[in-house]
Amino acid sequence: MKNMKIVGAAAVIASAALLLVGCSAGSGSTTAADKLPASRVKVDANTPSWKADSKTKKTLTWYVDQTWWNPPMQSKVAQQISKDLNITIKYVAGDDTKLNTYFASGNLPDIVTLSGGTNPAAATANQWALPLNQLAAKYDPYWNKIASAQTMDWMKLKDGNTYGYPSFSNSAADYQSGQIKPEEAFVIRKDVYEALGSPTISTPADFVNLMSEIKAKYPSLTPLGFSANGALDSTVQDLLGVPYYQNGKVYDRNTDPDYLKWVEAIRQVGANGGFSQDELNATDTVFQQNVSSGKFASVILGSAINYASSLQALMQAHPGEQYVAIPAIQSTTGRKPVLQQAGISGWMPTYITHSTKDPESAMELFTYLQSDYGQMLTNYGWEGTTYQKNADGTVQLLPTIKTQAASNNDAYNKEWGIGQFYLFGHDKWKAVDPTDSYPAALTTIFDWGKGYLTPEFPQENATVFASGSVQGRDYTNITNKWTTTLATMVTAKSAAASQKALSGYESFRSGNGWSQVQAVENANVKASLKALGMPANASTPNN
Amino acid sequence: MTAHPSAGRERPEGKFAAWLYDFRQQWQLQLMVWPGVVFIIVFGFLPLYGYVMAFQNYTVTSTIWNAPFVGLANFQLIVTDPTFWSSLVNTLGISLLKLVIEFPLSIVLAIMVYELAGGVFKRVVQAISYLPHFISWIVLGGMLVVWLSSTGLFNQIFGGSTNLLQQPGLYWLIAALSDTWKEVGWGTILYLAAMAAIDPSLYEVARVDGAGRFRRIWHITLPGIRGMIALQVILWVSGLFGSNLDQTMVLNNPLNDPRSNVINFYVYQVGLHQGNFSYGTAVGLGISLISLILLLGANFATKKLNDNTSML
Repeated sequence: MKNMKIVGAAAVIASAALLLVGCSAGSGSTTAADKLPASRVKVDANTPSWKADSKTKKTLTWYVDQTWWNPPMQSKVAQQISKDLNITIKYVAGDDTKLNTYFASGNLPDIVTLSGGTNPAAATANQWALPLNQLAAKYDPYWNKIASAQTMDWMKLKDGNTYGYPSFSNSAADYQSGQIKPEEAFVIRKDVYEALGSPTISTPADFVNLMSEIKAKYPSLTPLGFSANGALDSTVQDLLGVPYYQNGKVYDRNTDPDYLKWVEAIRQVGANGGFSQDELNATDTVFQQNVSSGKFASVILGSAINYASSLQALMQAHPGEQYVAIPAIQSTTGRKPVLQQAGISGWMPTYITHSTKDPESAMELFTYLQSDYGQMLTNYGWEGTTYQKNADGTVQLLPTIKTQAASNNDAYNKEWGIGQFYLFGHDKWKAVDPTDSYPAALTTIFDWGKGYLTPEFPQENATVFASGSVQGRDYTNITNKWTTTLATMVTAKSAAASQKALSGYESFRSGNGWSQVQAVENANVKASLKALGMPANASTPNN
Repeated sequence: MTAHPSAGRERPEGKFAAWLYDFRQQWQLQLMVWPGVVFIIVFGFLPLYGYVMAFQNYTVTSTIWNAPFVGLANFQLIVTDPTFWSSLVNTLGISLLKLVIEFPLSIVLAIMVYELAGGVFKRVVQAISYLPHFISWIVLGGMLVVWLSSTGLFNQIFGGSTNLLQQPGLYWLIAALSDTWKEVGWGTILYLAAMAAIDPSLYEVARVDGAGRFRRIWHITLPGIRGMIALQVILWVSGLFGSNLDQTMVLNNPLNDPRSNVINFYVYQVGLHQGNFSYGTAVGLGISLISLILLLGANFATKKLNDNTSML
């Protein structure tokens, strides 16, 4: 027996040694930007470098931190990209566990796209990615012509370099351009609203009455619908114009008195049978089914573009029963809504990593996808084959392509790949085709919300906490407690019980480091205000 | 069978030579054992080095080799974390409820199955009671979410209209009962195996002596599976801090969270969702240590009760 133990121990040590060797192999890669290889071609600020560099055959691996990322690689758009750049792109999709395995091995794919700007890896990008501004200067200065300067500036880390570039990053100018669309609204079924005499709803009491009337008149419908994910807090708060920051500090939105009046109204609606408790933990699929079947008489809708197909399905199956946006959930103190869209941090940032052997090709690919040429190709395909240009400069997909997309969407995506390569996407490219970019069911939401979109850039990084910090943990615990509290408040049997849940929340957070959490958030907002060149005592512009 | 090369030779004196001699004598058995040993080394022991993270501040961009050491800082954080303590209470509450309900029930069910005359009925009963074990929690939990909803099966039967899964006060019971439903049949297997080893002549003698069915169960069946019950107690007690992650993932919702957030779930949220690996690892390590102490304690206690023979 003793000998067996010795042999076992030896095996453990031997395997551990092997493992050590295997892991340390890649961990010495601290290549700085100044060690970059020389450019293969003569660079020019007015021409993208890929045009001169098509002779070299290139291969790049691109990791996307989303398990569902699976673009059609046999499609015509993919083939065009390969042909233009003489490149083979190998996409790898995964979740944070896979990403962390890459980090632990020290050997990253050439290009990495994170799931979002608040991913902890984004804040430490200087340790694993190459500075994009330096890559552009060295290999492809044309990038500076096509990338948004404001976005490049916003993404700067402390060392003054920009490492990643996010998709769908909107500047303040984008917010004013009308090219990005509002997607938060209170919507009600058109037939129901008209049958009730299209009443004007402006106070919480009006709202409670409206829901009771619907309940009485349409017993088979659920008067009020909402998605379980944030509709009752962030969406309602945005509709009420609750500020995000005030006098340069984070505003405590959840305890805003105006908002709490509406929470009480929603509680009363629930107490009168205006919504089912099940909605509070329904899955997104169930919510979508209820929307597309018109089971909800009215809906508090956040991120409407995500639910476009459900809204459109109802409109097509039952014309006249579609949802229309009305100004019902309104501030009692006269604030205007502060509707949100992707901010300046955008959606998913993409990086060129330390590990790449060919930073030049990666940079060329970035420029290619970001350029007008690349954007038109990935969004619309080829003029004459898949789209036509109108006299006013807008474009339209050809009728045959539209029919194929509508009748067999899977086959269409596989064959063409149009709209499938959007890691450098931006809404302004959707605006090039105003007729078909969004389904007709969304028009009412866009029309209602026009003018209410408010950039809230200073608060976007407010809740970025240092990895492993106490404040980060406390913040999550407080956020979870709030979710429970809000659900308890809207299902409470009495106003007093609801108030008790709120007091419980307030004492919970003061016992869970709330003041330190706020201090970190305020410091983040302060830094953002400075980076954006805004006054240190700025407030959400909503009055 | 041909003669073994070492057959007839004496077992040598030297330690290594003796080991080699034994190995040659039983190489077929060794061949079967070693893949298992290697498996345990690779998947059970080698990953243990990851526990180093509990004493580091490990971030996504650091590696185990270069993350800064912070000593016991993570453990100090745990002690001051109210969510950790409430998840600990929930874990223990649900585990104890399961111990009280599920553990005796599987013994009772095993005895009932054992007492059935053989044949189709017995096999059908066994098959049906095993069946839920093979349904994953994702499916079973999905069924429960529907059944317990405000218009679901239970409310239709009992005429209520509250979503039962949203009542924090009911969650422990729902968790314990649903787990019992799923696992009680499967739990009978080991007892039935132990019962099969009881000498049938004991029952005949007892019957001749005029013992009724309950007397026979009490004096023959139960003592016959005493060792197995002791073993199960040890395993149950050592598992008190273990919680069912799959079950929690499906049944947890914001309203029942104060009662459904168990340690595994908390570790999963802190470690994987928030990327706070060190903190998650520290919680996991602490719980493993407590479980080890419980395991040894339970083993010690049952040894005392079981004429000083260990069940492990």
